[in-house]
Amino acid sequence: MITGAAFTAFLLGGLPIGLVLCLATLSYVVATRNWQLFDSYLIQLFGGIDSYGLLALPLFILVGEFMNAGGITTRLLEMTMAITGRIRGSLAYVNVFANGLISSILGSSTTQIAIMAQTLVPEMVRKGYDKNFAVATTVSAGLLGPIIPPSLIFVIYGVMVQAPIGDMFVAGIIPGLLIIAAFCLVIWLMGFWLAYPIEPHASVRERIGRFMRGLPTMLIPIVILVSIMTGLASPTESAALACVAALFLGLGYREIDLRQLPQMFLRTGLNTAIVLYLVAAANVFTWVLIHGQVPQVVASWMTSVASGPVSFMLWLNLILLVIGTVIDGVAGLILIVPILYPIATGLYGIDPIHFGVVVSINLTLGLVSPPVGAALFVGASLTNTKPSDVFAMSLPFCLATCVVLVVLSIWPWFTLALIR
Amino acid sequence: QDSRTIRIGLVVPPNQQWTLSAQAFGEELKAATNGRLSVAVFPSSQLGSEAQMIQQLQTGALDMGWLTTAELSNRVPELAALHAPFLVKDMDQARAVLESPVAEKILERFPASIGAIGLGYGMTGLRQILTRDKSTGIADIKGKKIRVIPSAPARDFYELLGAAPTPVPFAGVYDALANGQVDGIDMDFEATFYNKYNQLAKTMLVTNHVMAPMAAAFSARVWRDLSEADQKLIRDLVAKQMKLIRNEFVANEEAFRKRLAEAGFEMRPVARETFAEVVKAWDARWEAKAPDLKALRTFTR
Amino acid sequence: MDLTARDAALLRCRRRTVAEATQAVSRVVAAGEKVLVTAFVAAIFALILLNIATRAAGRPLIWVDELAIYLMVATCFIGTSLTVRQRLDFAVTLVIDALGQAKRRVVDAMLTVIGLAYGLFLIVLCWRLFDPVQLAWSGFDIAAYTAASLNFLYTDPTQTLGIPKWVVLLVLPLYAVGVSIHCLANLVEDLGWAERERIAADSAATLEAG
Ligand code: NA
Ligand code: NA
Repeated sequence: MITGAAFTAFLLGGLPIGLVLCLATLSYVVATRNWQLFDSYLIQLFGGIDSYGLLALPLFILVGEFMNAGGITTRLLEMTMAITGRIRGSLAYVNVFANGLISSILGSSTTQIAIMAQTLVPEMVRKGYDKNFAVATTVSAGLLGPIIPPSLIFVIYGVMVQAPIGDMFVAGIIPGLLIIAAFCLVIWLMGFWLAYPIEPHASVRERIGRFMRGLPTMLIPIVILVSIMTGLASPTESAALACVAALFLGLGYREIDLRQLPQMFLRTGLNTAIVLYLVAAANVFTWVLIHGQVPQVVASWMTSVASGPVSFMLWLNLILLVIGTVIDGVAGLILIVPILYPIATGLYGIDPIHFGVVVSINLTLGLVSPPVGAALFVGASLTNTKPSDVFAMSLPFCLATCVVLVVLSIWPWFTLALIR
Repeated sequence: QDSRTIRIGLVVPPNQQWTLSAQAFGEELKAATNGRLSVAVFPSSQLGSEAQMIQQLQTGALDMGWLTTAELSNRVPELAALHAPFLVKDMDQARAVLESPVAEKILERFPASIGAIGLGYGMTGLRQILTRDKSTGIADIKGKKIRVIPSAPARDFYELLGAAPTPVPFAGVYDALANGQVDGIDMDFEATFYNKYNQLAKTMLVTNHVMAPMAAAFSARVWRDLSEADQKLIRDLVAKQMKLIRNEFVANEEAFRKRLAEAGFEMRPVARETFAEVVKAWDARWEAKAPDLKALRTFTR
Repeated sequence: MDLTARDAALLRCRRRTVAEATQAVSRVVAAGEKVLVTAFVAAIFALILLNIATRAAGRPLIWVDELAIYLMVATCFIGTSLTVRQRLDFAVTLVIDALGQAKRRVVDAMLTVIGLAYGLFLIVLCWRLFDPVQLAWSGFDIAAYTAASLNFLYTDPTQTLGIPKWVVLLVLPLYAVGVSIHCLANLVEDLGWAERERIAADSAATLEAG
């Protein structure tokens, strides 16, 4: 009780979330007078991230650094444009497809949105698209980042519940494709209301040229997916191989300057630290929650409202949609999973992979929902637009994602088909 | 006297015999004290890995851990004698070793070595080797990464076999095998069956190379606050469950082997004699650190 | 009258000196942390590649996984300390953003004080964990110390590295001290005792949180 109050006060008071978790943990120790827990606190903090699976995080973040510095982003983009060619609103579709492709290299949406907002939005505005629509499309399509493998949020989930990370990755493929399809439908429907410009004609030869220049970039997702799906390398090792591929491509395109390497390592280290500290803090928080047998209390409440697995999953979506407005992404994951996972898998017999994918997509959606949405803020601030205007324009995309989530919740087949 | 809850931590899942016994212990303790003493069981590494649980026993954050002696042997080197390769021929002998005075005597080392009271031994089945690729014999694990319990005796055995022993706590085994962090794992029939490791591996080399005891360790800090009557009650009730666990595993070893075989899992027996050199080299390394080794080898001859 | 004004001026001057010294210490610590984080990430990358190569060659090295994991943990703690100074923490600022400029300054200072208190508390926990005075009293005889204190920190091994576990855990006091120093530096700035240093963030804030 005191822990809950302390937690809410610290969180809304603007303390960093990692620190909030740590202080809530300490307040539990004080409130229950279990002083001896203090002397295990540091070891638990350390032990929470002392895991091989998490090594995939720094390496997948590094892939993103190499990719961006190596000019791979722009080439991927041109390649997608060469394919779609000349349909009404083609750049909007390009946006979704290019994000889909880049998602197969990057593992987090906010990184992806930061990159794409700076390359795609100016291009779309120049061609005559509504700016808010351009930003909304980019931000929404950026949500594919952690859904199409690789994915940092899946890595963390896998480590938290001891589910195979490789299976999590593969399970994200169909949901990712569903979302791409849903977004294309949304763009087509919005076309009746917004007047999309038509792009000028490019010669077939020019298009083939652009396509061929971009083709080698596909090496990176191929390395990742093939090595994981065939079991040749662990996700951590596949991330390292993808780093090598990105580095060589960048050198081949003559865009990476090796003198920038230390700066890229440093940025990777800091981004890793931000995520891992959340995981470590969540681990001690979970430790005292379990110590205080909190999950049992939530479980008994849950069983009184949800009658079966499907009803549970629908409730789960509703709860996460609400929670996602304030707490999203990795932070949301590490708060929700320790409490709801045992209930989902134990009481309702839901497959751990199915549960993980639905929860992750929900919390990723939370990244665009106001009042707190990291992806929304990053997208808006990098393009000088107002978050509220962007959100209004991205509502149809959010609704589409919700529909996909309901489909995924009711039919586990969509997440499990490729791994069974 | 105050009522108190005794927290028991384990790495095994809720449906495993150790957890069931821990719960049974709790019910008996509650009944015997009219609810003054109760038990909360935390299976599946909920409170952390065994290494983390040992640290919590030392500070008193955890009251009792039912922990593998393999992990404990990092702090109580005398336990290594129980992990001598090919010390026992079968499960009956494994049980006999754990009920021997030599093994009982090692429990007395617990307070000084890990700050806990040793309340008795349980166990699981004998250990085998599972490989992700097809294997025809023990030579196939040369140059392969094999998961072991984080403990020195196991590491040495695989090093002597020419493999690369990779310590992974129990909670990470499924992922390590599924994702290819390792090429194989060291595991028993029962855990293989319940955790479905057989779906991730192609072959099991049936070596029966080492026994896998567990010990009930009670935090010394908490223990000294208990009355003598309570201490005795806990001792007796834990001892009863430990005996039950030993008997269960001896009785069921063959049944689990059969169920795996019936599930179509390729199991290749490897003759004990193949390992004669390795055993000799292992004993040479451990004789000094595990003084009971000689006595136990004589005991099981 | 004149005298008190001079006193106040003198106090401000001293305060400024102390504040600037704090900033300087924090700057040195941050520079060291940057070097460590950069080196650790490079080493993790190299170690995993080494792992792939040695496995492919059928001669895997047993210590690589454990070393890479501990380097990652160290990257986390040292990097977290650095993010405190670069003010990269990931927070819900929804409520406090609604406050006015003046109130916001007060809240910011209070948040920094809480962070500082946490840092100091971590130092206390580290002190209890490593217990240096007791250890020195027992003449750095680990067996005697362990028996007397029932603190088993110094007897714990690492699995494959061949060094004791406490060496790896030394990153915890580094982290505790780093956080405290950086919070102090943030605090003197929040209180207006020294000008806010322009610190280039080495990462776009909160980028990886999603
Ligand atoms: Na991705
Ligand atoms: Na949100």
